Amino acid sequence: MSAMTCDEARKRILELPAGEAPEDLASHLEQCADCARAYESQRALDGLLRAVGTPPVEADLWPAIRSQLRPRRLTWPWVLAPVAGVAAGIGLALLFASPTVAPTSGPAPLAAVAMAAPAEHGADDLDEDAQIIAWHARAAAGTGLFDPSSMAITLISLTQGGSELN
Amino acid sequence: MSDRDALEEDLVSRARKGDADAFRQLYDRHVGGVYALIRASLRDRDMVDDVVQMAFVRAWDRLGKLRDDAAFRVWIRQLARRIMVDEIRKRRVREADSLEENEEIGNVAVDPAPAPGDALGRSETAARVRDAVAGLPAHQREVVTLHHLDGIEVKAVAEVLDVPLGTVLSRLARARATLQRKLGGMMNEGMEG
Ligand SMILES: [Zn+2]
Repeated sequence: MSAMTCDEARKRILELPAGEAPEDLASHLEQCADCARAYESQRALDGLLRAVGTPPVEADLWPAIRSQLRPRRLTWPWVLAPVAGVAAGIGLALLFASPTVAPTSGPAPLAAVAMAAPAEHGADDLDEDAQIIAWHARAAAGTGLFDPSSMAITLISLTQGGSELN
Repeated sequence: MSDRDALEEDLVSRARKGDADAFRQLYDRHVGGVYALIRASLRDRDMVDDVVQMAFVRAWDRLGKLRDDAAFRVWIRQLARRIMVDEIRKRRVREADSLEENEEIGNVAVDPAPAPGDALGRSETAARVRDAVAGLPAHQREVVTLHHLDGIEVKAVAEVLDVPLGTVLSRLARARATLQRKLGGMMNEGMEG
């Protein structure tokens, strides 16, 4: 293999990624003081740049980003969707029939919220919202209790579209 | 795998499941690099803010498509840069140093940004170095920002910028030659002192 010329060595030095060991340059650098100096000088430049790093970000962009993060949807198998729809109906029926609902926070406002919920979502969201409602209904059925306040929180969160995140 | 990488993968995995706190930590880790990259090409700070915000919001939406959790670092930069290119087209931005320009023309002074909390970051040295980088043509500024300031490996830089590795290396070479001329004196002082 023919020896590397100084021009080749300089080009190679300039293209060497920062922090990379120049194995193919080693023998030239041992014999050529000028190229060795150029190499050291570049190492110093690389070190200086890395130490300086990226400038700070003055603006706090997080609040704006945070407000645009859509909540992750429940990922139920699609096959459950029709079942969930039926369960949602039962859940709402139970809600209206529930004796534990206080008159002041009675079924009418909750129902209004429930009706309002889908309007703010797309068609896809509708099924998923129904699933979330159904989940509460089934959880209530499983424990023998029905918790309208938990239901209300879910319904309200659906209209706001963000309660799953904090 | 380093602890840092392991933590990052864990954050990505949690964010994918909907954990906004984990995503906030990913934001904290990467916003500096993403911001610097976009700032290397755009002068309009409002537009820089917009692009960076869009990048993180889109990353949240598409996290399910990221196959390799360890790749977030490169992926978020790539996403941001693609959004920037789209936004430039959409808004028909005519920046003196936008990507369409001959890269030898782009020589626009970027305000030297005030520096971070660490000693060197705040120093006059840092300000001079950032001035020198800001004076490079846009394409070279991007490469130097990604590789040198942000510590992204050259192959990943090529991915972020959608150019061949050889292009990255030749931009790097030209940028270094210029920076050596501008900052050589400073480094000699440093080495002698
Ligand atoms: Zn030589």
